Amino acid sequence: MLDLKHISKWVNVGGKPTFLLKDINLTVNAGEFISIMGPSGSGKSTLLHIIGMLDDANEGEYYFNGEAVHTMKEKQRSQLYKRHIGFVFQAYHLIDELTVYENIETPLIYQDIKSSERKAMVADILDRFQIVGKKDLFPTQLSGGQQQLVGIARALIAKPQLLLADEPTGNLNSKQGEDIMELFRQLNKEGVTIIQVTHSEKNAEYGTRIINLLDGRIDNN
Amino acid sequence: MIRNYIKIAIRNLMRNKTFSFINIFGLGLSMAVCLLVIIRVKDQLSYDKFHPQPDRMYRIITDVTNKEGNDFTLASTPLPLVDKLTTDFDVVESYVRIYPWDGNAQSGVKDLAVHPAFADGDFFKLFGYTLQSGNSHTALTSPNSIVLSKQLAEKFFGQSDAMGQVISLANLGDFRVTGVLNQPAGKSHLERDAYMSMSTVAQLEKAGKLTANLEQWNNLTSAYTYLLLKPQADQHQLTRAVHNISDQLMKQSKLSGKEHFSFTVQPFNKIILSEEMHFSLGNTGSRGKVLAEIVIAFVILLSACFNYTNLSVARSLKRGKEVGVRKVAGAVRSQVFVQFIIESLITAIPALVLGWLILNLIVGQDFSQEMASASDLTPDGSTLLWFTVFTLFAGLLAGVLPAWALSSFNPVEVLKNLSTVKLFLGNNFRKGLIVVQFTLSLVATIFTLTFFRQFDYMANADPGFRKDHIITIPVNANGQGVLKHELEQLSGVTGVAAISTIPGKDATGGTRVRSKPGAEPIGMDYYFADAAILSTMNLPLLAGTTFPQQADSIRAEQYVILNERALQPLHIGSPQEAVGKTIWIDDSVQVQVAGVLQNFFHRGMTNPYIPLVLRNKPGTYNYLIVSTSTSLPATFLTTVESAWKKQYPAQPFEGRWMNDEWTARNSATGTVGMLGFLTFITVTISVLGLLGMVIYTTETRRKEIGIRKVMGATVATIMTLLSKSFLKLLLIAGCIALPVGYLLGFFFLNIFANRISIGIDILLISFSGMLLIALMTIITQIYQVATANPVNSLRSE
Ligand SMILES: Nc1ncnc2c1ncn2[C@@H]1O[C@H](COP(=O)(O)OP(=O)(O)OP(=O)(O)O)[C@@H](O)[C@H]1O
Ligand SMILES: [Mg+2]
Repeated sequence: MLDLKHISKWVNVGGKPTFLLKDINLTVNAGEFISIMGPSGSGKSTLLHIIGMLDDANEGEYYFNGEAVHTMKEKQRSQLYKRHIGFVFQAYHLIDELTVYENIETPLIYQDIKSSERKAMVADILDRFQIVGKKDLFPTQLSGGQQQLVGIARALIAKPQLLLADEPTGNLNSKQGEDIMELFRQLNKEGVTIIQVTHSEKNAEYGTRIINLLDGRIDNN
Repeated sequence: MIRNYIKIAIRNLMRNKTFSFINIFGLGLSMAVCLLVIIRVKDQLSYDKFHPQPDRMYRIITDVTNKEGNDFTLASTPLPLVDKLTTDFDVVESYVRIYPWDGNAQSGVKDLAVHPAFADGDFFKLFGYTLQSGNSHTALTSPNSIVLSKQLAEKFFGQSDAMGQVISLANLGDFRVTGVLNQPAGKSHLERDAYMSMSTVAQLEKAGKLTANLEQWNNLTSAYTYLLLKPQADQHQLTRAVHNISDQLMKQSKLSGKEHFSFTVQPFNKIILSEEMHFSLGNTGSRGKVLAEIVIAFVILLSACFNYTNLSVARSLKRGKEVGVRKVAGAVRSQVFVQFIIESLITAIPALVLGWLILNLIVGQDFSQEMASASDLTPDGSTLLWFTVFTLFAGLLAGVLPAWALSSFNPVEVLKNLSTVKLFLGNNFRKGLIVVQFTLSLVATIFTLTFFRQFDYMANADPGFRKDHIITIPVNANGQGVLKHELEQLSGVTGVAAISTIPGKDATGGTRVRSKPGAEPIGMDYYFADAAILSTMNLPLLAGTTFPQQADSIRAEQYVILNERALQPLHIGSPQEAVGKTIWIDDSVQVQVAGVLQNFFHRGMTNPYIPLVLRNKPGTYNYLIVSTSTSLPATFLTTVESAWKKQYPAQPFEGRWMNDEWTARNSATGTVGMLGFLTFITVTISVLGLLGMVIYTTETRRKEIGIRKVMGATVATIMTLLSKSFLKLLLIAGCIALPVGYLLGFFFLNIFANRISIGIDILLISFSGMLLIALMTIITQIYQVATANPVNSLRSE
């Protein structure tokens, strides 16, 4: 599904290029559940952003379902991304001015899905995550775990093939974290490919494969 | 999607009440001004839209250069021009000359001031006026015909039929009503209240009742020429024809110096809002003034939009996260951009409503009389359309910059760490906007104060003649003597004099005075007045006497009185020397100087002393000047009115206290009110903007303040810390605005002969006033934060 070839990313600090990622080669098949681990600052988020097409690599090739992402224009990439990728953040990043329902609905709005269809889709997912009762609340009225649940619901609403999660349990207590991981495992069973970044060995075990990053390189030991 | 945007926009408006208030109130104030200008411009543009063939219609105007080389454009043309044009050239299908005349008209017991014009027979062919009764082909053909406007017909004849009735115009004789106009389909700059047949003019000139102008090429100013071009002719041919005529005239005439004149073709559609012309006919509006109004309204709108931009950008750190999330959820930049634009449009709508309410509040107040009348405020369909378009425009203007900046955010950056995001519109930009706003406010304040003080000074200055306890009464020559005698008998009246124009406003006209025949003429102002004018108006003589009594049999002018200023150009050394001297006025009339007056400001305080000659010619006086004892109350006017009623039962009494008129004219209440209003709006908008920025800054620094307090900072040090940067902005604004305001006031005052100097006090008052208001705004906000318990602000983080 994903093919990263010789991906490198660097920034100029004080006039000198500093590598954030260096020569990353990674193949991810559909149905995998990958955990990326590594010390703080090793480039995990950066890698996830590149996979999620939120950021560009400076060098290398990136194929998504065989399509060359690195040669695409902004517009095409956004089309591809909208349809196939969902993103979950450590800090939830819900829009405070919108209700739970509206937050979940947001990606659908940008995919020109009809209002009646949107309603059905949101109702489905609310049901599945058992947060129907919370649908008219605003994010500030929810606990952290509930907010992250909304965040995941939003990431999944457009039925993406690939779910990217950057420390999804980082702000949660262990019970809440376990619930989220159970949910991920369940989703993965249903066919969603998942790549998560995590610091917790325990959470990493939920995945089918662990990738270790060290100073912007994949550590093969 | 749009529905979704609107929902979020409204929710944001409701959530951030303070910011919404600042934005809506500021935009609303500026919109009140803009709506006013829209109404005024629209009204002006609605003129002359009801004529049948406007594209083929033209007016001929005259370009004149005087001896000194100054250029003027006259809206008028000599009367014989059309004859020449129609006989020598084959371009004109039909023409109408408009030859205005003002005076009194009488029918039965009614005696009214009227403003008719002589017009040629094709009047109804060129202009879109229609007749409610009468035949449009013949109404203005035969001599002594008059067509009345609907209103004038009703004034004279009420509901009864006006057709065939006789109206007698003072000095001109009797006219028969041959038509009554329908209410015209729109407004026109030709706003005469009646039209008389042009064929009457020849007879009247022959009888000496009108100055001979029909064949007179030298009189450039008494009539206006409108033409309908033949369908196959074009404007260039017409231009060539009129140039040809003026070139011929130039060859024949004896012009001196740089004197020159030529005719120009003005398309009829370009009359409204043309450049300003001399002797213009009717209300054509002025392009310059309209432009100035639009510019002022735009600057005020811009200032209000600054607030919106400023606050939006200031809050963009908060909104940045939302932008990031939306982009991660699949939004592209244009979608985010549209969302923010919709938000600003949504803000503009309540602002429009507020602006409309404010406008309705101010119209009808004293100070706004010159701006608009209440009748202009009933919006029709097209006005509403204009308002809608304008609201869209204002919303875009306010929202485009923040929308552009916000939609450019990179999601990875904003979601990672907001504070590292570099704002496209940085801190300096926002500070710059505040400086601009306060500079504008300060300049406006300085200018308004200067303006007010200058006019206040003029209203209360001593013009050199008595203006208190004086009543002026417009009265025509008929029966004037009798009324004068009646008034002299009233107890409390200390003197009655007759004069051609009320001094203090204007002279009656200009005349040419020579010290001996053939000498270089000297232009002087003149009044016709009787001997009593000196004592009635307390005009002090420097030498000589007032006009000596003349035998009634001598109607010709014999004596004049000069002011002191007139002596020097006549090369007369002293007032004493002048008395008894013979001079020539009006080119040929020989008169003797009876006395010399101390100078006074006969054209008002705006003008310097100007050479003036008082002339004595019975039958030329249009006003009686009544001086009364100083102990009389203002109600004495009614006593005078009853004396008037005895003499003129059918005519309205228009007597006024001179001092009231003087004050009204010189204090320029309307303009001061308008300037004050605009200044108020400008200042309010800037203060609102400042308020918003202060609130924003203190809010974002709440935690920092908490920490500082925990570490032992006092309230005073925190207040200084927070207010310092704002004070710096105000000082910068002051440094720019004070010299600019000073210069502006200086140049403005230069147009007045009698002027105040811009005191340092005006600058100080404006600046400290501004500083005070701003400080109060800053301090009330900052005080709350500085005194808040630090534990609260730290815990809430
Ligand atoms: N714009 C930037 N300019 C300079 N350095 C950057 C920039 N963005 C990221 N970095 C650096 O790149 C490195 C990798 O960052 P990244 O966020 O990918 O780390 P991470 O593995 O996700 O760390 P964490 O576990 O703390 O989230 C870090 O050392 C970071 O300081
Ligand atoms: Mg990270």
